[in-house]
Amino acid sequence: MNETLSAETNLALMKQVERAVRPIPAIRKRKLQMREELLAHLTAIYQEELPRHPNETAALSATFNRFGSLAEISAELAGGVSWHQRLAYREEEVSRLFDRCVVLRSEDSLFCYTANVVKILVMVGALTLLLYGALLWLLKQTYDPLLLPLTLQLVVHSAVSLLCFFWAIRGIDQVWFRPAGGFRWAATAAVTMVWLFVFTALSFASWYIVSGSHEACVARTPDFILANMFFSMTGVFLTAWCFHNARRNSQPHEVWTKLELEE
Amino acid sequence: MQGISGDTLRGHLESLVLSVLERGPAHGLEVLRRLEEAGCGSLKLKEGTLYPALYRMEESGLLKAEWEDSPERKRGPRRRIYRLTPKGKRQLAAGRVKWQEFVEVIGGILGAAT
Repeated sequence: MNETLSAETNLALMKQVERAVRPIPAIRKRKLQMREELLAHLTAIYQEELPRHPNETAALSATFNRFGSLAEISAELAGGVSWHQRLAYREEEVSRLFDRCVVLRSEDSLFCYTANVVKILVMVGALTLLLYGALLWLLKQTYDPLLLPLTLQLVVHSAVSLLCFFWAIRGIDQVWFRPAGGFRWAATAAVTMVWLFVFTALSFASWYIVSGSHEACVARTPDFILANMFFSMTGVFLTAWCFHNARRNSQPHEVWTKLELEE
Repeated sequence: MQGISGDTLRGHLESLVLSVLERGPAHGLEVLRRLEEAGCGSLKLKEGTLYPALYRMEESGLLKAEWEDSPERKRGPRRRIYRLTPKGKRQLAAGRVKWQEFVEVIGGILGAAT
């Protein structure tokens, strides 16, 4: 917020900008750039108009008059959006739709977060079953009922692994990517150790399910264990980093999109 | 003199902006100030309508814009500074030639009528 303006005035100026920019089919980054620039201009006009008028309302009214018709500006701005920007906007719309269906925020309560992860798992599971069914149908194969126990075990194992994966992401996000006081490194190291242990156990469990013997698990080499630890935690850190970046990028945009525009 | 505004101005806005930016880089408000100054107050442009033109010109490579990086503006919303590109300079030169031709033709007709 501009500190030379009152909060109400700044909000009124932001709303005026948002009325012009919101309908434009441009990507977030471009719209954010337009918003900031138009707000800078409106603010400058307002600061010029304020000494010429008896009160803030009159100055605002003069500012809006100097700025021009919002419908006209909006239509002209929309007309200047190139076809590739429009395409990128549509693509962004689809991903926003996905974001609305699947909301994973590490600041949510563990229960709420877990419920959302389960929702994702059910969706992914249903999709996998559909694809598997389609594959069997295409290859004119039938499902062997003898494989049912193994399939069930693998399904349960995959679900638990993914749930752990998402819990680990939440843990890393909370201790590493959010301001966490002076124990950031120590907390991250502790969380990493816990999840390394869990992922190693899960990898042994998967090997046990597939091979069906303890000996086969014990015979796993340290290379296998180390590779598994490395890749699982790298995946967790990378995904947490992606979530962190997405959140950081959407924050300035949300300040505008959450503005309520009266007709 | 009656003010020049709306559609009369719109057809020439891009050339006018290129022309004032020839004097040096400027942000939107400064572009408007230069236009007003050059037009001796006769240009009546709704200020918000400048930006679609600036964005179009930036998109077509006539202008290049950068965020202003001055310490006194750190707290408020940032402005963008527009400057002419070589393509913009060529466009301006072509625009001047076209305008000269236009004035000669129309001036000839209007002059003959009076």
